[in-house]
Amino acid sequence: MTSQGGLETLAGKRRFVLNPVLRRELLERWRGRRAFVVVTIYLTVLMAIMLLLLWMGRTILTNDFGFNEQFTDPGPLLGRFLMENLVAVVLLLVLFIGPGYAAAQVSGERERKTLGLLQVTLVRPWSIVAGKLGAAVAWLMLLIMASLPLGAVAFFLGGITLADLARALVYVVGIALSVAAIGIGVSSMTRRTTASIVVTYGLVLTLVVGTLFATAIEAVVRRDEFRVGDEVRLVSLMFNPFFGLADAVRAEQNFMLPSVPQMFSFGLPAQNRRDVVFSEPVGGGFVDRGGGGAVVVEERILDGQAAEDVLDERASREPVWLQVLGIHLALGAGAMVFASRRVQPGRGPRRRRRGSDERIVVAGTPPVPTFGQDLPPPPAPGTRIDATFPPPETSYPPPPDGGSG
Amino acid sequence: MIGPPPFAGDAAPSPIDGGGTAVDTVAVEVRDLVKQYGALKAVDDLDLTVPTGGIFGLIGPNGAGKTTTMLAIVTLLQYDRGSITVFGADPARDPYEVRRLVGYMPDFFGLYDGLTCREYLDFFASTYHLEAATRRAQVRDLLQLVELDHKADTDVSGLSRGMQQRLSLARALVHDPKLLVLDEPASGLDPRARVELREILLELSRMGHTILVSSHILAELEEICDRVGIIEAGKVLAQGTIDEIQSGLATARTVTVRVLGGEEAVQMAVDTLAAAGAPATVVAAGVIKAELTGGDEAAADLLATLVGAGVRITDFREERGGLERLFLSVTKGVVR
Repeated sequence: MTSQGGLETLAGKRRFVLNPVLRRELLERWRGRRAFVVVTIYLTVLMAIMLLLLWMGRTILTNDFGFNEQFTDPGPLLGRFLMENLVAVVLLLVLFIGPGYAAAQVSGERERKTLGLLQVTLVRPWSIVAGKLGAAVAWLMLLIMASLPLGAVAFFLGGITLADLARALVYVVGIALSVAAIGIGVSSMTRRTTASIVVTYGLVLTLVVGTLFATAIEAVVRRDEFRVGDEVRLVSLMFNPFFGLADAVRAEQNFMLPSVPQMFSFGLPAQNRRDVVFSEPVGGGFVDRGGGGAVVVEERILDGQAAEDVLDERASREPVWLQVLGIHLALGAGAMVFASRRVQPGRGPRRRRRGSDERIVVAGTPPVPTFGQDLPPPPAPGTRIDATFPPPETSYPPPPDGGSG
Repeated sequence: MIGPPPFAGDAAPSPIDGGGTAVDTVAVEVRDLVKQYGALKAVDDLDLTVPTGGIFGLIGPNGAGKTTTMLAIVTLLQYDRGSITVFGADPARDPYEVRRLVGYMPDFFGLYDGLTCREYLDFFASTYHLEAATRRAQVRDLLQLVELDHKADTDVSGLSRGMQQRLSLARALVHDPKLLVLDEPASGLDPRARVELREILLELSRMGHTILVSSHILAELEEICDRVGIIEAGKVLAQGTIDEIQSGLATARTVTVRVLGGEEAVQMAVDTLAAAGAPATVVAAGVIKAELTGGDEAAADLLATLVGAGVRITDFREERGGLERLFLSVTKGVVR
């Protein structure tokens, strides 16, 4: 090659090259109408959920708590209610959709017998696994991003800040990444995709529901530590994806419109907790209960943004959501390292031994069927073999009488 | 472009090297390879030498260790003992160097449904870090070579078995490897597809690729292989050109001799043959079959003796059973 070829190679190296495995996945999966149909269905479902929540929230606030547009605006409360639940639904969908796609990645290659073809190329195991992760996450990212405009609707109602939504977004994307990574990790050690999917959903269910049981058990075991004024942080909760979400969206505790993150926010340390107290306006309008600090609801209703700022200034928060996210990302990273080991040639699930009862096929003869030990005896040493092939057919015992001749 | 690989064309050892480096002349060298699956010894002290250039056939029944050996050569198998070099590179220590040099076609077709033939090949070309423009040209050439250019934009799942096999072969060629390792490429093909495949392999060989091909169907290899290795129960029993193996065998070869003249002439020929150490029998009027031990030298000597004795010969021909016969002779004692 000439020096010009060398220059070309140099220039080529500097250019960004998309991971070939990722490129193929994107090409294969996103072509045609499938992506379009899935996103449409997804958004329709999400929209329906949002409208239902909106209607429910408004009805409850006006009928049960006497809110009305003229005197007390239900907007901020409604906005929070909507946003917190919507984000929880998106997280749930990520946890629900993520494993199904990711868990099929490596085992699917195995089933299609394409993994060996990849392994014999110059693509490194790590690159194979990263491409797979990219494909799975890209899919989830599309759904997450597509649901963002719905989150914007909550803005019209007030009660939330852009930072709330941004934290929630970062958090959900991070969880999507780790769920996909876990799916790929499981997928790399299973032979069948079905098994991989079952195991991955099992793991995700353990993270979501199992940790709740673990939390209950932990609370019982550590009951002596619960004393007045002391903070007890339950370790099991840190593994629950929804727990982190409660902190990321700064879930409020109010008894009028409960949301999913709100329920999890009870486990947060006191300074991260936000109580909204509904009360008659007393004196200056603030009822400070100490700890996390409470804001009188009327204050917020008049000026939601102001209350928000006051609260954030007062509280020295612990970044619980980042801690939870860190734990999940660490799990995901471990799964990826594991997967890239498994994708190396000669690793992975044990190869089932192939039947060794096949034998040489002489041209012209179809493969000889086997019924146990029916090999013609080998020619004795010194026997002259005539050039006539195929060799004489072996005669088999007639089939048992049951069969219809 | 699918040109001959850089070194494969000049297969002859350069006189300067004095034969010291085997790298240029030996494509694959396998020494004392052992691979055990549990209690089963798939490969048992296997030795194999594939010279550069030409087509090397690995023949043996299924379960003999062909696939295991090939997997070890193409870096997909961690073997227990032994050493392998592929153009001087060690698959165990330097797998990526070997992968650059080797194209592997397994005995199955790995299908990515939803991709066209062109995209399928383009994807595998990209796994060898080829530039987009290079890939385009390469894929076009390969589709032409395996005669699939008319199916370039067809979904791979819509191909016939023969076409899949050819596409698979094209896939093994995307990075223009010096060595092609083909595991049972003709299995499951109809006769026509088999002939087409054979033509392509011969063409590739002419282009300078070294080809290692396995089969348990002997006739498939006989016509195209320059050299063969006969493998059974994890060992290579014999390797070399068919003639080399045949003449290396101590077993008898059969020579058919047609003699001109009457009974006496035939009898004289039989006697002469017997005296020369080749027991002969008359099989038809004027036709004698003689058992001959030894190589081509012995056959030539025998003919000279007959002519010297005044026997008038119209035909002197060695009966060749080809690979099948060879295979049976070599594996005689080993088959259960």
